[in-house]
Amino acid sequence: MVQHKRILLVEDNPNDELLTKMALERSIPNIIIDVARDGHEVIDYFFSESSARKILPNLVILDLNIPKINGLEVLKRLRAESKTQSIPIVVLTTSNEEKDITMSSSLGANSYIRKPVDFVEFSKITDLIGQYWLDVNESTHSLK
Amino acid sequence: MNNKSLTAISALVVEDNMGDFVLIEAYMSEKFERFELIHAKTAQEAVNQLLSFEKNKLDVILLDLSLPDKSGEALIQKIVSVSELTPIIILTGFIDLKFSIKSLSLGVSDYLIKDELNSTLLQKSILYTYERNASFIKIKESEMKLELLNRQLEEKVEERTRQLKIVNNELEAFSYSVSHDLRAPLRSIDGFSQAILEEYSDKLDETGIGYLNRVRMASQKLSHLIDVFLSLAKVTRTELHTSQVNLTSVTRSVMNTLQNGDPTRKIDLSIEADLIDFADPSQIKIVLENLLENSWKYTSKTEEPSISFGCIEKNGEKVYYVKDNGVGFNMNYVNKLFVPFQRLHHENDFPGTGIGLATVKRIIDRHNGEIWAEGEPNKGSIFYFTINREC
Repeated sequence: MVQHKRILLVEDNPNDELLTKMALERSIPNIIIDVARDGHEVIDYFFSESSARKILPNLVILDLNIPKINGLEVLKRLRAESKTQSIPIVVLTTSNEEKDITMSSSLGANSYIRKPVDFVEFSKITDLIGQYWLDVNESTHSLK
Repeated sequence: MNNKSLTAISALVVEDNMGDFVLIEAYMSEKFERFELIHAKTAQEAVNQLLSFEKNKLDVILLDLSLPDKSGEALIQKIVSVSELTPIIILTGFIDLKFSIKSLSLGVSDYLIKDELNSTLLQKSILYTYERNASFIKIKESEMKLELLNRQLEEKVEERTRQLKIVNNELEAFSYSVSHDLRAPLRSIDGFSQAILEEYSDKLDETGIGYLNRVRMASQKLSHLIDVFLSLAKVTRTELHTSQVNLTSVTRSVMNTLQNGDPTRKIDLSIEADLIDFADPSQIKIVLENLLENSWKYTSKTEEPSISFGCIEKNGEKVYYVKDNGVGFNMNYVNKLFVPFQRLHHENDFPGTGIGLATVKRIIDRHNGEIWAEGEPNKGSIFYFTINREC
């Protein structure tokens, strides 16, 4: 049986969502991409009674500038819950503000990457993210 | 002396001995055409009187040093505390030089011995005291005016600072949203152009592919412009942290990086040794990077290119310079050099964003310095700058 890798992509911009999906699907075979378009959807995705998610994603790709609950707050909440505290989270955002970078790191993001405008560059980056977080890295999360 | 002082004196006489009071009254009538004496027999009475008077009603207080309810130093202090600016002349039966000196330091104007007192002495003391006090009041008044002005100025500065902070915060929010919101659509433009190139190239001819490549290059160029625009804004936003900086080694390292980026270029390089000054190290590095990168760029078409960095002294001030023999510039345009997005060369000849020297100027401004340039077309240019000028 082919083992599927699952990613939660947190992204509010539909164009960015499509582009990121294109880049991810191209570089990572057998990938399932769930999408949350704002902070609430992320919290619902993991914690709402109705969804009662049993299969957790192998990786969360998180944009910071998202509606309702911003990315840093989402990060804080995911790290506060035992269910989600060890899921690798890669912040992928437009901002290179110092405070966003330091806050992300101190709130427990595993990595911080700035989205480049150049799509070829961007594809290379998603390729690396997939390789590293889904193949190379042995996360405590996958032991569960 | 003005007439008022000669003709009409109003005095509070604090004296418990009726005989002494009558004597003072007699001396006064001998010397002053018109005068008014208000009599208080105890310290408490004097205090009550003083508190009930309008301001400036009294010209002088004549104070006996031993009263039934208070005497000596405590008495002086009590009266001084309510006398406002009315001068006090002490009348006492005892000769105590030490205490008389001390009483002057407590705020008393003169110290008279009753046994030596006569009308002339009293008149002289009152008039001297009056005149001295008039000047003293003038000084006090200007002091108070000055204080008021100072306070108003401080309030103004505070208000301006507050406004500036608001504007600064707005600017910060603006920069943040620029970095996010302008870049997102650019990513779509570039991304979908690339997607067409990759997935639909069989449906496009060479011209169509060329156009899409131009779209991509333009979006990447705009993205770069946003970056430099933000870095210019950032220079002004970040706080200065000054320390000792070795400008010589900063220059060496910048030139090494440039040389490593293009090892085939041969440049005649001259860097003055041991140039040390106080500046924000990361910001002064941006200054030298920009100036040296410019020299590097604008000598790229020069035969036997040379770049030098050094320091000269002008009017007792250290003036640093970066000099090259590159394409230079026309002095008619010297004012445009430091204006953001103003370029003196064509993009095709020498690529650039037009933000480098504007950034440099901002940093030099923040270091209390000045920057200026001299140039001649096809001969080269010199950029001079100072830092830490005395204001």
